[in-house]
Amino acid sequence: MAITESDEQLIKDFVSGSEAAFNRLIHKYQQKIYWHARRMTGNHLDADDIVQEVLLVMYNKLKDFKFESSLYTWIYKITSTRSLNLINRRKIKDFFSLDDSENKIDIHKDEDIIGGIENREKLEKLNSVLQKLPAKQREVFILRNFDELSYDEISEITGKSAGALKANYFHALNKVTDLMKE
Amino acid sequence: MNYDIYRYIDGQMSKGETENFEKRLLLDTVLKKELDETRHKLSVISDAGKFVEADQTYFSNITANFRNRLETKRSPRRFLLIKYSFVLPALVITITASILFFRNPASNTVTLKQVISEYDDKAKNQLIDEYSDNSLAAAAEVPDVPEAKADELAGKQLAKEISADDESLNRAMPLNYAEFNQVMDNLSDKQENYIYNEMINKKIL
Repeated sequence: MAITESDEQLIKDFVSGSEAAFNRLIHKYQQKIYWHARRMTGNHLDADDIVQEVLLVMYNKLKDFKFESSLYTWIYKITSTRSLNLINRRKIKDFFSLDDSENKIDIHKDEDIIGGIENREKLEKLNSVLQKLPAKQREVFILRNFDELSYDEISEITGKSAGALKANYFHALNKVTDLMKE
Repeated sequence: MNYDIYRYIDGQMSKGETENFEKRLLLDTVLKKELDETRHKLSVISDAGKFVEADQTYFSNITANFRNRLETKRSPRRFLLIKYSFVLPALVITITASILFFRNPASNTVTLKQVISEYDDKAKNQLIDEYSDNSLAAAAEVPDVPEAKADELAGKQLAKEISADDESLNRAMPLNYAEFNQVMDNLSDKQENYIYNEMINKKIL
């Protein structure tokens, strides 16, 4: 039913107590949230955690949503922030060697939702490139290249000026094309 | 990467700039080659990111997983609420018990029996007289007042002091001194303590 319902209507219905409206919002945005988180973190388990966290934030905060921005930029903002937080936490853990990285990689492979060797290889190639970009550049590159957002929208999500974002994207593109030579 | 290539690919050029750049591409084969290579690399990356087949079961279950997590997150809160609902009463009981313990140390806790046992018959009579009203005192001083009458007055007065109601007064009275002693002997520890506490509260003792 009514996938075409507007975000505004779904939010109003949810705030009025309709849990079904929230389910429809999940259905509408789950792919965007997952793939953004997946590209940012580079693995399924972390992306899945972020999806659930983002949904929880949406569930708790939607009642305060003021419609000053579009819902999808708001969702991207939450997803990006959560992804960057997770990446930073992971860096700290790695620094203090609190994670068993080798085991973690094996677990991630077992739990992955990507089927087929060819698909996995393609995604691993992508990850190997993306994970070499600094997190902030990666964020801009993903939002611009995969999510195809405008600089104004990315600016709304990241809080950076369009000029700074263009510079970031240029550096990211340079690195990506260099890494593709390897 | 050539900055113009980047701006061209990213759509940052104006209409005039785009036209000029495309003219340059027709003449500059090196520039054209670099543009083609850059586009190819980006398309490989983009394809890898955009056209990956994923297990759709995962996406079908996201809502259900979220609902489960939501429920799990709520449950501990409910559990904690129940768990900590016992803390406040327990704290009140502990504090009250501590205050009572330190204010009424065991060495000071005596039963009514112990108090009475310290008195001989004469002292007991004196005690009764002391807490009797004037009529009882007067009766005690008058030698021709019958002993039974004095006992009755004393019993009534004592019952009044410990707030016995009319019904229990009628049931308990009249008592002579011997009967009073017998009643006292038959009191349970709990009853004794109750009476003792009542007397303490009314500043009788």
